Amino acid sequence: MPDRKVVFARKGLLSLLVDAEMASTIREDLEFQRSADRQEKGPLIAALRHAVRLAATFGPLIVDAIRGGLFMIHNSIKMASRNLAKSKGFSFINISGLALGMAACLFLVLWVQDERSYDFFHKNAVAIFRVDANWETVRSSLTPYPLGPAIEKDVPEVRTTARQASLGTVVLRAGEKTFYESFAQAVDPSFLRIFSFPLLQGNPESALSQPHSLILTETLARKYFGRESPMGKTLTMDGQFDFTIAGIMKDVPANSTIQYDLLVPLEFMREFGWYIDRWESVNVTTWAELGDRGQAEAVRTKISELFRTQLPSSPPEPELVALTSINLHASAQPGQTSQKIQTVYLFSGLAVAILLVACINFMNLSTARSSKRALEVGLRKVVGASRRNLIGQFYGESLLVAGIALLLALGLVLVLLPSFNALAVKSLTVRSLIRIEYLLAFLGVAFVAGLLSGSYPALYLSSFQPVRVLKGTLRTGAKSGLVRKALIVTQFGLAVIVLVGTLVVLKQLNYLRSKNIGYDKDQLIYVSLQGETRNGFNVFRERMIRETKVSGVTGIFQKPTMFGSRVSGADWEGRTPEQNPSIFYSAVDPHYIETMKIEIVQGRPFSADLSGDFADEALINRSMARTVPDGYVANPANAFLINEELSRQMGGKDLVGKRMKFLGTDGVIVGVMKDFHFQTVQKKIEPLVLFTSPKHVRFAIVRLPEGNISASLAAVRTIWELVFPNYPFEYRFYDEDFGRMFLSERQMGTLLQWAAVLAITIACLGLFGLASFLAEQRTREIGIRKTLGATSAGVALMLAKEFLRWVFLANLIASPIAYIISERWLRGYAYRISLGGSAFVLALTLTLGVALLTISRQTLKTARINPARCIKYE
Amino acid sequence: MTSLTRIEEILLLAIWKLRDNAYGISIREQVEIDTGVDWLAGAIYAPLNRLKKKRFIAARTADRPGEYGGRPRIYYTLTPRGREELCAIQAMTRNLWAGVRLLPNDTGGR
Repeated sequence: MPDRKVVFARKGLLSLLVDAEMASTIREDLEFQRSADRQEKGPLIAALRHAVRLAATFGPLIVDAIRGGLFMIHNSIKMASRNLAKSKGFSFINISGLALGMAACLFLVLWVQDERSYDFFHKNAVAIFRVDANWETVRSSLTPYPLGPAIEKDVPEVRTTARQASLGTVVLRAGEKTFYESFAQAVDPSFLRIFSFPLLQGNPESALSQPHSLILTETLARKYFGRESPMGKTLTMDGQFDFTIAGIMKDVPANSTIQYDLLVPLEFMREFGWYIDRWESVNVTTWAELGDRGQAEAVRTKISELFRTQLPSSPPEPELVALTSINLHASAQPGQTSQKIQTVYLFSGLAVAILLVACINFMNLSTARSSKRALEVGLRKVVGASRRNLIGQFYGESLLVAGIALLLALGLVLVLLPSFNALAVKSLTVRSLIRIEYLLAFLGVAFVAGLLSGSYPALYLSSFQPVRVLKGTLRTGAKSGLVRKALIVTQFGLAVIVLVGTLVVLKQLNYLRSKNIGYDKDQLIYVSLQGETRNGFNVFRERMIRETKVSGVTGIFQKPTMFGSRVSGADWEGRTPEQNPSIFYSAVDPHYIETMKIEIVQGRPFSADLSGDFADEALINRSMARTVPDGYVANPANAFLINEELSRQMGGKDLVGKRMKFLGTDGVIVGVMKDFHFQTVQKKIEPLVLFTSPKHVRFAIVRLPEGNISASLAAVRTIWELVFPNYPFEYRFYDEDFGRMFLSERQMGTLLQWAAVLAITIACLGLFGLASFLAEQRTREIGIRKTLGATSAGVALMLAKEFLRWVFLANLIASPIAYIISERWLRGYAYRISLGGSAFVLALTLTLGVALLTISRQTLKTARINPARCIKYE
Repeated sequence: MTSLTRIEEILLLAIWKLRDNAYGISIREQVEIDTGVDWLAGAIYAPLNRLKKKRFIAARTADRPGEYGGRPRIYYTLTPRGREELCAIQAMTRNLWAGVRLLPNDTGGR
């Protein structure tokens, strides 16, 4: 009954605006006229006239109400702003300190919120799980190809499954336009049903039903087709597969862990011979949407049974990872906390700490002013103000200040948002700020800040007895002094923690950056090889060596700076049954070792002579081949190079020359490489096996000669374009990749730096306010001291000591806490600095120095005072 | 000097004229008769509310058994303050018009 609802709403509004009697009067008249209209003019006109009358009634009433409200607010604003204007310096310090703190806090809250919002935009987000597999030693998000359909068939609790696999980098051509695309995914058609990635054009049910259909994001569609409609047009992949565009998709939101630019059907991958209906083919990510998320454990047990029946020799243990937990919690090995969630905790803590420091500042300054306000309180009480009035006034004042600070903080956030985005590599927009949760959160922050900071004056000052205050016998000395000092200690303590944290992060970052990675990464570029360029690698290499001055050309299967695949189950002469290391591996071109300048500690590198060292092609096909090479005969003389870490895990000595069975193929260990970082530098160097197979080169690596880099690059480009006219030349520097590896540390360092600057600034603002207040309070004491023979220097020292003592104490308390936090953070790194005392000493010196600078002006001014003037200041 | 707006003044006078029979509908109808304007109901209630808040008028609840489903009706009467105010207005209006003879086609010598 919609009619009734309207009546209720009107009743509600009316009783808000006027009292019950007036409401009744108005209602009676409105109903009277309405029924009269109904009889005379029919229901339609009656309804119209009624609506006009409603507007005419409520309009003026609302205007009246607003006027009345404004008057009240206006009055209290006037009171508060008078108090603020009376002490401009204090007010400025108060408001700017709080605003800075709030702005910083808001940024951190935004960041944390954004990180936590990942993947929640899917309609059924909480019921979607990724099926991971724990193999003997390795946990992987990749699962057997037939797993998805098998789950759908055998596990009734699962509503739908979808498989997803990355295509790696592909070359796309539409007409004249050719680009590399590295965010291509192959998925089951059910992918679009499980996840809420809306299609702008095309039918989600049928868009992926043909093996050669394809879905593009808006951005990609514009890139290839401009303003033309791309639907039904053709895109050529890797120069050999033609796809028809069957759908245009909205761009994937930034807060999605699944990122892609284009989707092709998983069925298409069969043409590569890459995905085979065999349980040994572990290549796809499997997503499962449950009917009820509470049944995850039951589903897990059933999948475990599936694994045991299908892979009886070595069944992996499945694990269901909730989609919404992936961003923050996943990607870590079992038993390890992920870096992301730690950072989220850290930043949340930091947000609270900074807000706390700002609020403490505010409380501190209000406390300091308390004796000045005490007189006011006394007078007000004498005139008849109740304690409740006063509490209201003080809270009102502090809420007003918090409100002003909030407005300032919001202004700061708006102005600084682009810089923050650049810093944190986020794409938060002003629009993403305007959400009811955020607005409520901001108001909440202001409210809590106002309450926290207003509590002391409101609750303590309002209890002053007017007689004592007015007679001047009230001492706000010892007790409140202690509170104030405790506040200063807390404030500086927090500043010290942030400061030490910053120093530790920067030091660790520096350490990682300058760490010897085990090969020479300077002047090294790599180019991804796609389609025909793979078969042409040798031609490219020959011509490069012959025609340019480059120092070396080689190739590799894995991504050059980030090897991804690992296996266990290697066997070798002299292995004990317990030894079963999980080993990373890659096929390389025979010139890899010399080009990269990797040191060989035992044995020899691969021989460049093309007859000896090749791995059994069958082995590679089984593990990673994308194309079946033509008739290569198994070679018993497969050569393996192992790294020192593997050599250690294999028992150490005399491994060169031993026979080794790896990936099911026999070979010989020809040498041991010095450990080098083949993944990010943060990660521990894991066991590694390299073998040669020029046919499986996926990346060409070129070492440019020292000197004119752009000239050398131009030379490489010329050769590339001669050999592969259809493929654009897109290269990357190893250095670039290395810079990217430290992104999260760099971000954290910068953010912490700003937080440290802020914490110290706010702490100093507080200290400054306090120093000027105390100096003022002690003028007479100082005057007497000087009359009795104290020197200016002596007085200055005395005043400075007073404050520095507390800053020192803050360091003493905060350092152990900072130590514990830093230790925990550093524990996440395989290679880390040891925590020396230097960071702590630096933090101590810095805080003491800054504190001294802050109070020096006031202190010196007070110390140089003419005693004759201040002693008789009454 | 009175602090009432014109509509407040008109309302106050209407309530005075209605004596014991001043309630929402009757007040509106009286105002319509006095001014010759078809007042939209709403326009009188904001000023009526103001008069009540300024305590120039007081409300009184009267039960009407049997009528309108037995809902009580609110009647308004002038408070002593309201009466004083109305007297002051009357005096002022008289002063303002004293000695002025205004005829429909008198242009005032201009």
